[in-house]
Amino acid sequence: MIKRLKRFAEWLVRTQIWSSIFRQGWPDTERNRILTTINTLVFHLHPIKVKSHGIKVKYTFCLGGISFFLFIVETITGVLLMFYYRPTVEYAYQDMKDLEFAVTFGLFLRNMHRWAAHGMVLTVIIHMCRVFYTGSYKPPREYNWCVGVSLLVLTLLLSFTGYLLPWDQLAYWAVTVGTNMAKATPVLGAEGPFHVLSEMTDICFYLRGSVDISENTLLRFYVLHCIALPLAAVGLMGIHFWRVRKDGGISGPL
Amino acid sequence: MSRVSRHFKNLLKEISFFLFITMDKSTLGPIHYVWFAAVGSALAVVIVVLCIKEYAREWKHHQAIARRLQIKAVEEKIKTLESELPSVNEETRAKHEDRLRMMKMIRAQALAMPVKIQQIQVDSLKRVDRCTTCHTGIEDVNMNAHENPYKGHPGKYLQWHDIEKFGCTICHEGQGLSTDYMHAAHKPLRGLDRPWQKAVLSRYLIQSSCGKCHLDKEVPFAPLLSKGRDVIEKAGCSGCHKIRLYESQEKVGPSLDLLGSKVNRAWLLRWLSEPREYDPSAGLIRPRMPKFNLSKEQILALEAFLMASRNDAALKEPVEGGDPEAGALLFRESRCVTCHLVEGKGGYLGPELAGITSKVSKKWLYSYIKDTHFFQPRTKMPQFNFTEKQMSDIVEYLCEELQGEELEIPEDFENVPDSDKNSGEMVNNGKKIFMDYGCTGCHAKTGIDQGRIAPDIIGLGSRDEEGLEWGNVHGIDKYTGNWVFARLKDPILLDKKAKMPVFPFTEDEMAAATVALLSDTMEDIPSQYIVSATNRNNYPDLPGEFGKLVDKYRCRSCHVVYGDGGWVSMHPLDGEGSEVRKEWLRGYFTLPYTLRPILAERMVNLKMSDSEIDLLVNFFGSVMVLNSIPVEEYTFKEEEIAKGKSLFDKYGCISCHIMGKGGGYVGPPLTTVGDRLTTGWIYEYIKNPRYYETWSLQPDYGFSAEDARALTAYLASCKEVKKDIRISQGK
Repeated sequence: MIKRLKRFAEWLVRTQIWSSIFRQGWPDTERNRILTTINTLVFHLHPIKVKSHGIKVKYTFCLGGISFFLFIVETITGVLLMFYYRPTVEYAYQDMKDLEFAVTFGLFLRNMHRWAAHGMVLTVIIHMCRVFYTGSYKPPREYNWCVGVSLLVLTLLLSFTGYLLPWDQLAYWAVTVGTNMAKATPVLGAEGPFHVLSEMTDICFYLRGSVDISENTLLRFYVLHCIALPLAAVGLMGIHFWRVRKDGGISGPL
Repeated sequence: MSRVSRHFKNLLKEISFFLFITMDKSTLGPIHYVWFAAVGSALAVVIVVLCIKEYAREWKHHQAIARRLQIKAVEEKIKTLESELPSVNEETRAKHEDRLRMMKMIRAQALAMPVKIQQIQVDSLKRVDRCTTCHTGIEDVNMNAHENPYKGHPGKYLQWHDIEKFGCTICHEGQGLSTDYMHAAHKPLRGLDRPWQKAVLSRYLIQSSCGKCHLDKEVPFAPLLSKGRDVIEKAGCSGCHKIRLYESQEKVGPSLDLLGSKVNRAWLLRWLSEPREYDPSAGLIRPRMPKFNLSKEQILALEAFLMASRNDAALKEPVEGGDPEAGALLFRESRCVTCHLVEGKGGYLGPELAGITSKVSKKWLYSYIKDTHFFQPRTKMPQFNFTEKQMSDIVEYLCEELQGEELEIPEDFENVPDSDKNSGEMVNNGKKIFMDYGCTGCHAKTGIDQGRIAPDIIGLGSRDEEGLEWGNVHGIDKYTGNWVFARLKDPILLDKKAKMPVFPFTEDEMAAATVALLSDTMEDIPSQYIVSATNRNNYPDLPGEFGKLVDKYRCRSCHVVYGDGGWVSMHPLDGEGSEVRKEWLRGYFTLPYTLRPILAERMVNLKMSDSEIDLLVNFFGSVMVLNSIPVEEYTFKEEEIAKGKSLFDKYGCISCHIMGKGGGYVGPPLTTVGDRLTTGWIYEYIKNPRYYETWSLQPDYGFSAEDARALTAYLASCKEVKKDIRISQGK
């Protein structure tokens, strides 16, 4: 059985399709393993060699990895949900109900998207705690800590903007309360300290696109949730992973 | 066995190796295989459970049961039909077989019915309802005996409201898009993490939904809603609040101009501190005045302000020689109790007359009857055409028979010096309180017009309970309806600073008013759904001589005239000229009598002059007519009269109507109906009773034109003097 698998692998790497895509042989020699890491877009973020303690689960609990995995789950389920969802006052709630009750596996999709979102917020925060308690934010990793904090903020914003999209009572009032906080911003908010702007020009108005939560808010949050924030998160994640490697590897003292 | 397990282990090892491609084989300890196997199995289980849950939806179960019930019922019918088949005779055999075939077709249909989500989409109401996915038999009257959700809809509501045009949630509310019990919001389930603004309405609250489209005061089959609308109208809520359907309602209270000349001080102080003391039989409108939360100082200031408005020169001394016995006769003849209460009995439009002398003086009574509309320009009371002697008689009667004890100034106010009341500061204070507490909502006062002082309650049904002020109320369900009820019951409870007074409603009336207020949901209902018989703003003030008479005699206090009025009688006078004969109308205006002995309210004897009666009778006959009823009287043959009489007996008309000696009291007596009604009206009314009077109790027998004509002939012949009837000979 194993011999047969091996023979299959040997044949596979010789085919034109394989060799045109991967440009190196089966990663069972030192050289091929190095080439695999260097030649592959996704893998080249990783170091060529990992210290053996680096893959000990107890060392990092794989929290960053789980966060990234959940982000991928969010992306896939999110794209599928976008097929059924229209961000208008008339249809948003109806489409959500359609997903729950008429679309096959729609409820599963919604729930998965929701629980993965909750999970992501949780793992990102625990990830931050782990980094803090193991002192991994110290130089030369201080820049990556800042990128990580930005990613935490993006995660929370993604969660918050997604909250409005069902357009039900909970969504409406939660976002009303949430965006009301922006009014208390110093200088920029209409009700904050040192306020200079009116209710029609302050930061809360730009967030909502209107004085109250309305169709404009829904569209704004939809675009932020589906395009702007995920793109920003992907960019920052790229930097984050790259810097993990450049700043001295996944774990361990420098 | 061990070889197999070793082989399996190796296989796992290899797969793991492929997956963790960059790892060295040596780093994978046995613990990793266990983890891998456990996570993999858990995932597989989750996927299986997911598929099962996705397939076994709650509604499929309900549809299966419903189908079984339906098929069972049909099969029973088939069985009985088949067993009867040999015994039926030749004539009905073909019919019987047809029925059998039909039943078999229904069975085949039921068997072939696909299991699927049912949906009613009503674009004009912007609703998509999937309720019928579980409530499959809702339109099937044969399913009425079953439990929900297999039950048929009770009553005839679905016959009146085609389910394809209305859907379900326009009346019942709830979440029409959902297909399981919990998410369809059958129960309010407040306090959960996803609260529903609109849960399925209870069987009482559902009447508020009728009010979305039915804009009339009387809504058939919705007694709570009708009562609530009545309460809102009579309590005059629209004086302070803007309320849908009542935007243009008049102030319900009397004008307070010249109050100083009308009432005595002791009465006013008592009235302001506790209006219900005046009439202990607390209930709706008796008295209508609510109790305000006023302090002693405020009451005194208010009293000073109100008593300052006086014109004693306008009051006239009654002429000498009033005879209380003649007055008593006149009091009964004029049917004063149609509007006024006497010791708690009578109508509700006017104030209680028992004990009237403890409130007003004899001089005032006389002057008021003499010149009613000078003292109260917008009162519902007509200007009676009494002679001065008659007025004096009535005043004498009121002062003697309905005398009240002399009122004393209430204890708390005894020590307040009388001279204070005219000080300018007090009067100004009083004016401020008068405006602050919205007295102008119900009472007119010259020089003060401030519009509605309380918040609009438009769209109360769509208000969110989160946005309402709940104050210190605990232990009740925080739902908009409860808020309205609590607010009516005790406004201070919810909001310490509330200015709203406590109205003398019973709890039933509060609940009914709440239902009526919740019916305004601000929903955009298309005009084809709206049911409204009267356009209330058609003719606010009628023009010409007729208009003057309607104003003088305040016809609209009781009757609907051109879409306005009607506090006592439901029947609009707009088509009266086509209904009754001129001669009868003339007699009725001169000496009104009761048409329906069962009713307490009767037409008031207004003592109109002959010229006024002429004008009214001519106007009714030429203007207030229905185009659908012919002006010409029908002529009948003798046979038709005889046939009509037999029909009259056959249908048992006598159980509701009086004819000759006996009969029922539900409908008006028909003994001399030929004198009263026109033949055209009788015919049309018998043919289609509810076309002209939607609330009519008269059953619709579906008479043919011939039968209706015969009955009309018979009824037209029922006259006091039979010589009048025109019988065409021959032809």
